[in-house]
Order: sequence, then structure tokens, then C-alpha cells
Amino acid sequence: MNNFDILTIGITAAYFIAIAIISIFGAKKAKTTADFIAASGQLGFWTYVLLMIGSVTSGMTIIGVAGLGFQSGWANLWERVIGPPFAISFCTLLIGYKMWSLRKKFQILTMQDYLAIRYEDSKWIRLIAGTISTATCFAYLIGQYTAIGVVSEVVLGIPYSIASFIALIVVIGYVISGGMFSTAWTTFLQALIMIIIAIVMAPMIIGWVGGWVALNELASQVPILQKVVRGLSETYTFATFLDKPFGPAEMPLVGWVYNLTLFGLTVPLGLMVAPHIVNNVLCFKDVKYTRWGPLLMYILSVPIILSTSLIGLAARVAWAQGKLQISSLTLEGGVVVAWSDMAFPTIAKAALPFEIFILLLPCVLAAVMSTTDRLLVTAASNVSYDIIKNVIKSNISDNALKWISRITIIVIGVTSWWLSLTPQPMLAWFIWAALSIMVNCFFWPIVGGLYWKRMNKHAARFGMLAGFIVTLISFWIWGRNIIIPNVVALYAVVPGFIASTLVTLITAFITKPHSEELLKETLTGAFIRTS
Amino acid sequence: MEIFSILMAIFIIKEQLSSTDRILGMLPITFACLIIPVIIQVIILFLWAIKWKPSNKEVSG
Repeated sequence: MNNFDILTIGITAAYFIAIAIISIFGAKKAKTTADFIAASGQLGFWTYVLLMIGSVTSGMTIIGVAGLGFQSGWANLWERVIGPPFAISFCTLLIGYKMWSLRKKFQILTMQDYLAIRYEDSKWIRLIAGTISTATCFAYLIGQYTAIGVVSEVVLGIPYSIASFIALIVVIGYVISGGMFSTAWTTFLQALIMIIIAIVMAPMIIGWVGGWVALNELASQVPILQKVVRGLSETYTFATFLDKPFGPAEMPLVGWVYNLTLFGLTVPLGLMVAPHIVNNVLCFKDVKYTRWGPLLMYILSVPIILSTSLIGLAARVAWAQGKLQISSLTLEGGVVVAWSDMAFPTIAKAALPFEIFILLLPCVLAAVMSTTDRLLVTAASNVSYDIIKNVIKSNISDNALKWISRITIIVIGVTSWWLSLTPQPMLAWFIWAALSIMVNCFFWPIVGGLYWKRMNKHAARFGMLAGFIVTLISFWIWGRNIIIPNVVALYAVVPGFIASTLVTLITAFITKPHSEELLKETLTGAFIRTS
Repeated sequence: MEIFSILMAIFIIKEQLSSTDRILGMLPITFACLIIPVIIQVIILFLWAIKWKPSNKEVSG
């Protein structure tokens, strides 16, 4: 074992030890169900801000966004400036601020608690929303493990299944011991690691290809470079759009219509109403955090996602110049990682000093674990608190509920990890499909519930079901792209969004709204601040 | 006067976007599509912060 191996293992071990120490404090603090599910609304300002950033900065952000930057360059730039940064900032502003008063008044712990109160439906709406939320958390989880596999194989040479299993055991360990407290405090550390590493690595890698101006000018030359150096067509993998903000409407992925439906609708709105994000806004201590918190979240999260996409673009330029060789990676069990998803680890290995390069592993571990833990807490609260306690057995003890949460975390964590060992498509696509279900099921019940007086339980129930069913059918029929040749290319979220919107609006208009008293109590109406 | 200034600004931006000169190595249209959504969101979030007041419901307890 040489010095580099010792250093790599030492850094990884130090990371795990820090996580373990934090989770011990979390375990001591988590005593009740409210502690376990929502940290009893006691999170401080920075813990909350970094929890939001960590919850949306997943393995996909580090590996998948760099892969997308490699493929399409600037042509998907709205993902970086409107996508996750918009979602967490505006979730706090539009949902968190109003929910603060409701949460105190009605003892709300989860998103389903709000839906049950707002729609005077303690069972069915919880059951539908809880089941859909668990399913989407599960799908989202599967997409997380590949990122660890990619980086552990490239950095440490450790097989995918072992590295991802170690990470899973660590996450399960701290989530079942400390619930939301451990999750929030470890995410504080993990988000800091991601911010620092992404901001350090990106300038070094961009510098390696010649600096910012050279990177952008070379991006325009990629069609010629890949033809001359690689012998490939000038249009191969969206090369002609790398320096443009979008392509024509009929192009999938880079077309402006596709961009709007994926990065203007699915990612920002899907994440804004995702149960694991909405549940975060039920965890902070003081309403004052909603003042500067949204701006700070935006300012901190844009550089992370922009940096990783620029690293992907730098890899594309270096690859077209012949400076970098990128190959797809076949992990054990036949899991094939798309070669574009290898962009970040490959260029990092080539461009960075080893001492910096090995920080990529804790960075990806931090990204994956900070999202995985939040998803596990959300899935566990869906099953134990929303479905078992509030639908099936209301007199269940607090202790029994905690044990059901722990068992749920183990079952969901292990089964999603096991499913991730079989081949899956590009990392990003898997997560975007889960986001499509989230936007089509939860946008109207939550945003409509807070801001529209006509929104009622029938509209919420049928809108969610229509969104869920039509989204699944759309992905089954068309896959991810709906293409009308030479006219338009859309992301497959659209039929589900139209269906959920139409069903919600029609049902809301043909059925009676809830009583004026309830609407007043739940602060429903086209306002943010109560006056 | 203000309308004239706005029209001049629009004209200058339009000229800039249609020119072949690059901004920091980027095509002007790409630079604009990157920077405009960022500025708009930052302005909205900044205005929200400076005009922020605690919810009256919360104040009245």
C-alpha cells in the first residue's frame, strides 16, 4: 500500500468518523416521533439552509449534471439557474413562510398532515399522497447509488456493490438512530464539503483547458475538433449546440420546448413540491429564517450546479481536442455507466493534483448521503406516521412507531440498493422521471391548497390520481421523449401535467369549496403574508 | 426621458445580442440567457428579504 492509498483511505475514514460522531449527538436528541420525523421544528438557520441545499444536491448533481454538461454544454443552462436553486428558494418563500403559522397551529409534522387538515380528509388523501411519496422516494433512491459506484471504482478501485453498501449501512445507521436531527446535522457537514470542493475543483479544471474564455471559445470549435481529431460527425452528441442556450423546438434534450418542459416545469416545480423538500420547511425553528434564507440558498446552490456542469463542458472540449480519453464504465453485475457520466471523474483524474482529486470521493459520498438520508426519513414517515398511525391504527404507541420507522428505513434502503445493482439508464433520467410524478401529483394539492380557495378534497384526490396514472402511462408509451417529427420535442411530463391540471380545475369548479371558516383557518387565498 | 432611456437600453441589448462579439468568450445570446434568469431571481429574492415582515398571525399569537 503506497502513500496515496493511505491518504485516500484516511480521508474517507475521517469523513465516516465525522458522520458517526454527529449522528451520536443526533441519537441523543431524538426522543419522540416529532423529533424523529421533523426535528421538532428546532433546526437553526444555517442547518436549515444547508439541509435544503444538501437535499437537492444529490449524486446526480455531481455526476449526472457533469454528464449533461458534457453532452449538451450551455444548451441546458436553465437547469443550472432555474432548476434546483429555484426549487429550494421558492419552496421556502411560497410554501415555508405560510406553512410556519399553520404548522404551529395544527401541529403539522409532514406534508400529508397539511393535506389532511386543508382538505378535511384524514385518511384517503394521506393514503394516496403517502403511497405516491413512498414510491417516488424509492425511485429517487435507486438513482443515487450509481454515483458512488462510479467514483469509488475510479478513485479507490473498490467494487461498486461494496462501496455503495458501505455508504448505505452508514446512512441507515445514522438515520435510524437519530432520525431528522442526525439527517440535518450530517447534511450540514456534507453540504459544506460539496460547496467547498465544487468551488475549488471547477476553476482548476477550467484552468486546465485554458481558462474561462478559452473554454467558451473552444466549445464553439468542438464540431470541427471532433471531426478532425476524432473522425466523428460535426453534429455528434449535440456538438453544434454546446455554445448556444438552446436548440430548435424539434430537438430533444437541447430544444427550447424540451428545455422548458424539463427544466422550466419538471425539475423546479417537481422539487419545490417534493415531499422530502416540503417536509424540510416544517423543521426550522424561527419564521425569520424565511427572510434571507431563500436568497442565500440560491446564491450558494447556483455555483455548485454551475461548477459541475462546466466541469462536464471542459471534459467535452478536452475530449474533442484529444487531450482526454473517456470510456464507459461497466460495473460488476453488468451496470453500465453512460460514458458521459464518466466526464467528471475522468477529467478530475487528469487535471487535478492527486491530493485534490481524492477529495472527489467524499464530495460524491456527501452528495449521495445527504439526499439518501432525507429520502429515507421521508419514506419512513410516510409509512409509519402517515399511513400506519393516521390511517390504520391511531392508538399506536410512540415507541412502536419509532420501531416501525426504523424497520421501514432498513427495508427501503436495502431493497433500493439491491435494485440499483441491475442495469439502469443514465443517472439523470431516472431522477427526472421521479420528479415528473412529484410535480404531476403534488403541485396542485400543495400550491393550489395554499393559494386557491376553490381547491377542495375531490380536486386534490382526483388530480393526484390522474397525474400519477397519466405520467406512468406516458413514460410507458413514449419513454422520456414525446416527438412530433419536424415540429416539436417535449419531455414526457407534459401529458401528466395537463391531465392533473384539467382534472383538478374541472373538479374544483363542479364541486363545492370547503367552508369559509376552514379556508380562513388554513390561511388559504391568493396572498403570501396574512394581513 | 425614462422611456427614452429604456428604449435606448433595449436597443443596446438587441445590438449586443445580434453582434458576433463574444462576452467572456460566450455567445451574447448564451450570456444573456444565463445572466437574465439569475438577475431576475436574485432581485425577487432580495426584494422579498428587504420587504419581509413576520406573519401577522404569528405576531398576534
